[in-house]
Amino acid sequence: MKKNILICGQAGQGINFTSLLLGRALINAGFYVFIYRDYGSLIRGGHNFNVITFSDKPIYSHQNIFQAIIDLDGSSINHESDFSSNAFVLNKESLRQILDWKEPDDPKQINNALLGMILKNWGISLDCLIDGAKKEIKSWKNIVLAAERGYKAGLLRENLKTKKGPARFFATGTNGLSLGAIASGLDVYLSYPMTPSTGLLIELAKRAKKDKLLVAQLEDEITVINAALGASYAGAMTMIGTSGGGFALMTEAVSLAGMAEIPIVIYLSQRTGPSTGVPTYTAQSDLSFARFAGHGEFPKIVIAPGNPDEAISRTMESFYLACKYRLPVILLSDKHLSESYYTFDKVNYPKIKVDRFIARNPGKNNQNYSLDSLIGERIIPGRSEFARANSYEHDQYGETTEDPEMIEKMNNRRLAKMNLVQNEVDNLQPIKVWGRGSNLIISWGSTQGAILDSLPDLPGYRFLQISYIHPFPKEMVRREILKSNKVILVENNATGLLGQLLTMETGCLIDKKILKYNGRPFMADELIDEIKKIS
Amino acid sequence: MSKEFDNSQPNTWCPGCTNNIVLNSVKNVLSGKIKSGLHKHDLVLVSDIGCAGKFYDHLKMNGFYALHGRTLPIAFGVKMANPLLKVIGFIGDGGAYAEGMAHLIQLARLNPDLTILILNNRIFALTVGQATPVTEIGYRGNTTPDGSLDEPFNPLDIVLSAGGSFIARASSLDPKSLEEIIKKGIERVGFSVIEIMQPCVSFRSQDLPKLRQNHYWISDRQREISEARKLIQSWDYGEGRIPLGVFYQKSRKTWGEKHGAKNLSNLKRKIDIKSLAEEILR
Repeated sequence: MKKNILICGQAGQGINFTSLLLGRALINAGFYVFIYRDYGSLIRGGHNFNVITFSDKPIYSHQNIFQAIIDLDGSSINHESDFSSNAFVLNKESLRQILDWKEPDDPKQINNALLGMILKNWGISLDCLIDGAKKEIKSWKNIVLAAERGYKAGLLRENLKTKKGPARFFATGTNGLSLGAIASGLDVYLSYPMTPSTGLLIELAKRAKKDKLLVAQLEDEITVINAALGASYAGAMTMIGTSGGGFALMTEAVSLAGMAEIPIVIYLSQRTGPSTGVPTYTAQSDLSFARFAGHGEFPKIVIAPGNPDEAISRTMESFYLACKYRLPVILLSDKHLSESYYTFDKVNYPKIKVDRFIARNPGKNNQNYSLDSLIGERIIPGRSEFARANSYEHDQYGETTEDPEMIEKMNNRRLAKMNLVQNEVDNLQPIKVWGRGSNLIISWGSTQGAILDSLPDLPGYRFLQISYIHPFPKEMVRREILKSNKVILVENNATGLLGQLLTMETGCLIDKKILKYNGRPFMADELIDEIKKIS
Repeated sequence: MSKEFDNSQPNTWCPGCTNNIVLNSVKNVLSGKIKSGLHKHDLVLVSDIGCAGKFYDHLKMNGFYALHGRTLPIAFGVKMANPLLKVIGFIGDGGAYAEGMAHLIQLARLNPDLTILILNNRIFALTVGQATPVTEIGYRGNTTPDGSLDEPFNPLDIVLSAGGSFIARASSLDPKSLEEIIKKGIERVGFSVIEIMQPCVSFRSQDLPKLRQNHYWISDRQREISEARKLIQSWDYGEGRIPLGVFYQKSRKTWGEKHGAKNLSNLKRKIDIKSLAEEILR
């Protein structure tokens, strides 16, 4: 059983909140839910919609075949070609048929009444909605009053089997990132608002008091990354967030983090580019940019989680590796992962050590850049007089140098750290292989959901998900490719960026590619069709 | 003179450069602060690129040699993470008034507790002689062979308008008064901007006699903002007499006070990931 509900209307009509309430109600009724948000760059008006896909089995993506429609402004006509044959539409008209229904003072009550109607349609108890609403809002009773009326007036069309199972997790990639960051001992989060990274700034700002975080919105991305490096130099666990354009402004300082060996975690949530691009839509087109960002040669890590649960562990790994090896780590997400809601049964709590890797009593030790040992606790001001961080080439003490021998030695020091990182990453599951089969689908990041949902219909195919973009798990990837028959690359970009990197790293060439670059994420049905075409 | 801030790096400033005078003044002030009980551990310098950046090389202490124009955000971040640190920034007029001007305006607004020395020789010197935003019209640099066509602006006026809480000007040719003003900046709480006028001996040697002739000291007292503005505007980085001294000082809450900043590097956190998951993921 799988159903897709379309909720459409104008920006400002409460589509997201209504979707969230419905999602929670469906989870409480024992289903798995995925919510996809589709909205333009405007505050009021326009045409926005959410797709709520639910099923009795785990589900990780949405589908544009709608069995039910909640239409808040009459705009569902734009989607008519995607209605299934037995689709039903709930709208204001449906409510007018209730005898004593009058236009409510608060137009959002229409949404709530329609929620009651849609639950009745499938025989889902109103209690499921009430439990969810209590979680979301203090004035939940108002919601329930309207929903009750819709419920009473609604028709029971199809009695779905519901069961109150164990409570499930229901979260976005942003939620996973914030949990991972707080669990890593985050002290400082700095950002400049930019869709789709703003969600994390909002969420952490909300939690700042409770979790004793310093969360600040600063004047631009250049300030954000430089202030973050200052804070990290002074000993704080520091993270920043942005999207492609903002990251472009940051890149000079990414190189500084590499040179001065200052830990920093950079959350880069991709949107459709290039340039301003399509701000509220998704893409995976910054992979190469992230991988190669910064002038000069320096060590850096790029990690791409594929779902909210992975976002938790990958964020914790980011902090651990950034602090231990004193380098920048880029966490690559995108609008689809950052803002879509996923349901999962359990959280894989990572066993990652939380450590600042700072020397407690450095004493007279003034070698922050030792030539003998690549990893050592760093020295910070406040505990030492010798904490020297230098954007200029420097010696083991951080003193400026132009000496050719020292330049070479320090390059070797910095770059050799990547060998240690590589060893460590080998044990962090840098790739995952899903399913069985001699044919291989290769992808990364948020495409995971649609690919996992298409695998049951693609016998003979397994899915290789690459989570560490840099250092690239060359041997593991090459092994998977060599033992496969057909190999197909799936990416949410126009030029197959992972494929290009993979060729550079492994020497393997993938000529079969399924690329989507219209701002929209993949859906399972279209993937199945495309892959079967190649077959 | 105390040697505790002497560093062994070779001095690469030009012979006769007055940065050496400023360096001595800074050393004297810092040594004095240490004598009166400040821990050297808690002192941090931040500099960026250009001749002013080299203060990092010549002061043995905690330090961050930042990217061009980025002294301010780095210093802001250091202070954000540990408000117990005393942070002093060194920037040239290129870094402060060209590449990093937005930071200067914003930090004047936010008022973090930092002392910022802007070494103003009215030239990009280390790139061998180009006009900055405070170079006068007609200046012949290697990128303006027919003379600079663009008017300078008055950055201290802008800092005042943006909410600057301490605005002063000193001269590298008057080390005693310079020391007093730096000391004042370090001892007060808030964003202290101190512009230090200096001749560039290599590219603007004509300034040496002019600066001496044109400098005059204003009296040391509290001023209303309108009076401070008049004084600041009385020299617009062209010809004429150059007032030195503290133009404006007003105590107001710092960024750290407003945001409850504390020493984060010592913070021990109790993290219960499972209860976090219950809160965030359900």
